[in-house]
Amino acid sequence: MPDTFLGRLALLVTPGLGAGAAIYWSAGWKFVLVAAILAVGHLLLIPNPSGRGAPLLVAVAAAFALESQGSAVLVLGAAAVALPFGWLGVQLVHGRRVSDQMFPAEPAGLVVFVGVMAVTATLIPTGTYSGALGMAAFGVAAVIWFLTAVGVRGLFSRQARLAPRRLVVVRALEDWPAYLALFSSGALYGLTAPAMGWWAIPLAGLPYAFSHVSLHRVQTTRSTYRQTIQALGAIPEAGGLVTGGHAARVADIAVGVGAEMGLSAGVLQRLEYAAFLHDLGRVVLANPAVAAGSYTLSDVSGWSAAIVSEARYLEHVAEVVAAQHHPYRRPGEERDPDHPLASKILRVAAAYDGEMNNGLSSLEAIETLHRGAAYDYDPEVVTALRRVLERRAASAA
Amino acid sequence: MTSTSQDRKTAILAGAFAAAGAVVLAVLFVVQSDPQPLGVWFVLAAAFFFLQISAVEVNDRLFVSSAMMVAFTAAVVFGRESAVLAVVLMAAVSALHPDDLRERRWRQPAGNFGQLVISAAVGIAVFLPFLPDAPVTGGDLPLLAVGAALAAVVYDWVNFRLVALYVRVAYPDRDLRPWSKMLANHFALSVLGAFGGILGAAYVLVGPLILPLMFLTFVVGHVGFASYSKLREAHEDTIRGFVKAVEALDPYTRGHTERVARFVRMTGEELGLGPERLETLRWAALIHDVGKVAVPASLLHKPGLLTDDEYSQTVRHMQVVEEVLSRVDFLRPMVAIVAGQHALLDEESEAEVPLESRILATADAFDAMTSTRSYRSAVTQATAFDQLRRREDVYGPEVVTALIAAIGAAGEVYGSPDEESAAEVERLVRERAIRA
Repeated sequence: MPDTFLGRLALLVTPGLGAGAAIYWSAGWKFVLVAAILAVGHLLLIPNPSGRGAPLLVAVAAAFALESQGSAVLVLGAAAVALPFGWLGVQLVHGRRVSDQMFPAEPAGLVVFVGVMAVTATLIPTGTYSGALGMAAFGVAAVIWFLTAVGVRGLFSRQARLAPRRLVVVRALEDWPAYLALFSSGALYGLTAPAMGWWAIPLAGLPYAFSHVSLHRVQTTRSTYRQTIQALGAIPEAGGLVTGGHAARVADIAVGVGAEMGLSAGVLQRLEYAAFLHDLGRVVLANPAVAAGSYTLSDVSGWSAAIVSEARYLEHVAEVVAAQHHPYRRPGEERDPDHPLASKILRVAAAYDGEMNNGLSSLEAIETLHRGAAYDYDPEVVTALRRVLERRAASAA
Repeated sequence: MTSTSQDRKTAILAGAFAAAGAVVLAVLFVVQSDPQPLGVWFVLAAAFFFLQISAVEVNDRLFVSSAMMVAFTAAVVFGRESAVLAVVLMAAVSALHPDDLRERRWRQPAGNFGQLVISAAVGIAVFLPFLPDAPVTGGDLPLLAVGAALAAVVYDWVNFRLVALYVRVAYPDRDLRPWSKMLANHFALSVLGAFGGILGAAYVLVGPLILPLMFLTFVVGHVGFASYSKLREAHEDTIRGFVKAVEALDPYTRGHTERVARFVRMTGEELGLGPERLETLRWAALIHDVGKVAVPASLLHKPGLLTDDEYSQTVRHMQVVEEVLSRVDFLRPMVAIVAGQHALLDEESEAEVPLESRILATADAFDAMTSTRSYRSAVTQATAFDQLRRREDVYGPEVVTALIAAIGAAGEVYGSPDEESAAEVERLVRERAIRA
């Protein structure tokens, strides 16, 4: 069940309202069918390049809204009845994390969408959505659903510290592909079903499948790429040149801090790769002549960045790695405005893990970093790390 | 054949293709009506052009263009009277690739013009009997879908035969995937053809609004597949970058990985391995020496042969790295091939070694013999082949024969040019070893 009292109340009351509306307006078997398809539509997620999925529910609701010529009662009532089943299904199939992302964002988007459709239906002289004006109204309603959903999701996420307008823009730029595919294939079905019957299903389904497969491939390849980078980052550990698990722990902390500071999905990914690979240059130390000589941490950063930059696509990751040992500000100098935030986060995360490896407790390690704040470390990053660690400690307790 | 006579042959063929295409087009102008409305033709032609020049990689090295779909949509939209002319005109326009215009090439577009015009004319002509005389109704949909699927295969077959003819003359050294191995292509294109037919019917039954909706959905698919291709490239690029860094640690093995990757591909192709096995083998060759990063430089650069103890120490270090790489699901089959290569060189191991590992071991040994190392000079190619034949019981006679045949067929020579040079380099290597 949802954590909040309001959430539980909504989950209990909405299906009752939906069913009540259906009985009052004498909706028939089609109402039950639409509700069942909407409930199942919660389960199938089309992945976005950002990793956040959008449910097939979007296409199903869009299709039925058009097919029923914007009948708010049918779509909204059916969605209300489908809601608890969808919520339960998502909990069982995808787990709590996905469920928390999807609710209440998608129901809120759906309510707004149906509302806009109902209002615009009265403004369309022909009374049908199959004209240019009708499709424009549908497009406006779809965009409003999308922005509502990404906005609500963002507000309930770790990026909540971003200004709401920026948050909506960041999320909209990351999540548009799946929503666009779902809305357009839903609209294709809704428009063609009255004239083509069952043939509307392959007509809308094939382009949807094309998009789904392509976005799914992106997600699996990205996951493989991440695994490869993680494995490459672990090679100095396999050679006994770095403490075991250091790169993975630094990546975990750095991504946590980056999300806390409101970095976008793209920069977070760059930061994670940089964290995995930040000590890769230590493979050079397999040569006893180098290992026996004098070298600094800055040299290690340079070696790591040189190896990483051999891969053209990791050019920006190499920049983060190269700047990881630059101090936040040297005494008597202004801080460098071009110093990437990702490098500053990486520096703090690596230092924190290093202090922990030296036998300090988490609190002692944070205090050590605080002492170095303003010169060695960015004070805002250290503060964000403290918040992340406190939250993690609280949820572990 | 000299390059001039080759050029002349290509120019004649391109001219013949273009002339045949022009004749087909002229005949169609006589026997078919102009496509109307012209605005719709322009929209569909733009889509056809865009899709023709932006084929996407939907699977390992399988590129598919969705232009076939637009061709059958247009055929239904314009009806029997002008279907063939409408599609052939689209195909003719799409022969003008921007790269050809930019680089002022005329043979390629001339050849493409003929090939695209003829294949489109044949493909859509086969589809004509499936088009209704009267305006399309819902009842025509099954026949349109089936007809378009069949005609799409014919369209693709004619296109392939013409491309094969052109490639054989213009690029005699280039391999062309055999038609018999393009089953995935036929299936994808017949589905696209059937879908195009249904889409055309939807346009007639519902109206032009469905076109932008369809376009938007396909844009997402294209964006997705383009990102997928880029990520795959980035993945390979990252591994290659790392391998380059590993090779930089040992100047004697610089370029070794790329050469081994080339030899395994040549051997695998000679043995008739399919594209997926070749791809796995290529990746195995790329990562087969990554384990060296964990090997102490004192062992890696040792002048002279390793003792048994040093050798097993080296293998142990490499195995630790391979264990790390095998955590990546994608790399696991490749790491297994590399591990098989180690098992093959372990005389005490009795494990059955897979073909891929034997191919990798043979290619690795051939490159090691034909390159100078810290402890000995490169031998001649003939000596290397001789050494491989002597160890056929380890590598497998079919693998050794395939490698030798492939290198012979490519006309390539590796290693020292002759025995005297090999002996001279050997002397220098020995002197350096004594000094060390």
